[in-house]
Amino acid sequence: MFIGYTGVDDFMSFLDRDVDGLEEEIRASLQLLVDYREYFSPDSSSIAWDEANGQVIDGEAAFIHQGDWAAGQYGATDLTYGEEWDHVPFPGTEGTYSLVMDSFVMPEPNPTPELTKDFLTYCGSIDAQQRFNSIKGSIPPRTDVPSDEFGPFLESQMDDFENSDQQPPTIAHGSGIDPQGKSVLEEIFSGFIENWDAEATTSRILDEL
Amino acid sequence: MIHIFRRILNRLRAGNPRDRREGSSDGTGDSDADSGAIRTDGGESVSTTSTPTVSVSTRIRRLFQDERVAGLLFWVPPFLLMGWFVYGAIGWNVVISLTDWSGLGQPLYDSFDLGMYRELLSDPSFRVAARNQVVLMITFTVAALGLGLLLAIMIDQNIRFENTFRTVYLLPMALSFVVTAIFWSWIYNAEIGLINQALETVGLGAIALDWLGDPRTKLAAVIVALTWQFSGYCMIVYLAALRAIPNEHYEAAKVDGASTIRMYWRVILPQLRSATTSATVVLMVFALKAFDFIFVMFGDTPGPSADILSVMMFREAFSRSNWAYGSAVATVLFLLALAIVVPYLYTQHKRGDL
Repeated sequence: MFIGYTGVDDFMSFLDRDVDGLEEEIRASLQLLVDYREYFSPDSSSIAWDEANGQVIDGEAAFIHQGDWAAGQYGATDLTYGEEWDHVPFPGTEGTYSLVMDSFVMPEPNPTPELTKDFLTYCGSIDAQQRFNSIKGSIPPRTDVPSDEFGPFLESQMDDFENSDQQPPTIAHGSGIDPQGKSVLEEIFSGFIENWDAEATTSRILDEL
Repeated sequence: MIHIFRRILNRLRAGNPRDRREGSSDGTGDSDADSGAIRTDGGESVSTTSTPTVSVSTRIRRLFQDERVAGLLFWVPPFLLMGWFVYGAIGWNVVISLTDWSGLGQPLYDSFDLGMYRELLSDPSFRVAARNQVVLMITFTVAALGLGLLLAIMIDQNIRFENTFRTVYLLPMALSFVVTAIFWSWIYNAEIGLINQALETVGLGAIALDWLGDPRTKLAAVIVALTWQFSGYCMIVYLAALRAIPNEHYEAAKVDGASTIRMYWRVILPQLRSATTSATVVLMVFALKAFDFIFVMFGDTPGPSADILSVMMFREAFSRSNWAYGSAVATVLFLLALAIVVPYLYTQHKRGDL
């Protein structure tokens, strides 16, 4: 919502904890969420995202704000993409593709560094990217992987990714901010979804970030 | 523990002068055994010159016949293990809480101050967590004791299937908190949970809340679930105490014309005092560390309405790497636990029950 309201540049300075000039933007984004609260599912604060996604699939909810991993759940049903379910970018975020990356680690100490290197090199290859991502339901960061194996939804995701101007990281998955900042924000938001006070939450974010 | 320390101390006090006295008088078998004991205490310098007349193997055998030396085998290993892993860890925790350690590096032990504790006092998260902690401790303890007493009195009425009921009520104690937390989160589910479904069935859908999402009911939901799990324990404690009361007391009260309620209130309950005290201590100390239940239900950010100190400690230390700050919270928890346990142990000790 913050990206949609004010843009990636402000979001990036938020991630850099440079929040002093962003008071108005933060408050407005939070207030927007407060205003939409009456449309949430009544159990929204106590269920997991896949349960919420299930409500959309069962026709109990109209839509959900999620990443492309949620698409796998639709793949498990007989709903057709583009006809019975679809997705749109979050309002105001056209041209932005928020990145969540899968990664493999190269541990230290490592008894077989050469083998690990070989494996990681293979993971980055076109063949592995195609095999891994088409099953997992994610898209390859390489733009030279043929898209025909991926199905219509992931193909449109790959198009969006290739045509995006900005690829900001995220807070929820820890790529955009250090673990401490993430935990601090999580605590602040656990308070926000109890008191729904945009004013108080804004000043807490400004204080603690 | 205190008791053991006192015994050790008495042994040492009683032992040393006698050892020295007998060590200097040579010849008798007793003194040999005693001088051997001195060696193990590091008292080699006072050992006598006459001992070499007895063979080494005999001396070793006599050494183990000595009560004090044999006793060493029993108390030294647990003493060292406890000292290192429990009290050493607590001590190190306190030391860390006085540093400024945070992040991935090693702690710097160059300056110690109470900065972390000062920060705690001005931290709104800590105040909220401490408040919830007190509420949880008191309501949960009172509720579990009350329910347990009620169950125990009912089971004590010579009912049929007594063992079955006892098992049914005690069974929740045998389950892991992870299991019960998940299963209560299903019961509390706003849409498909047992409670709300039942309320809707009887036409009370209007009071069906999002029990785990609504800040007004979150902590209460946790307390109800914990009470369910622990009332069986209280029942067993009370049942044992009730069975220890002679039947004559009931009969005497009845002969004197006391009603059932009056009999329990005036005659039976006062005799359950020590059972209540020990159950209270167990419940309160448990409430202090009721981490797993809340963590499974809400993760490490349960929100201000259900945050407690142990969850805050975990969040600060393991999610934010604020090791010193987390340690300070842990020290506060430890002091709270001491504040509950020490008066109990002290009164037990004074009464000679320890």
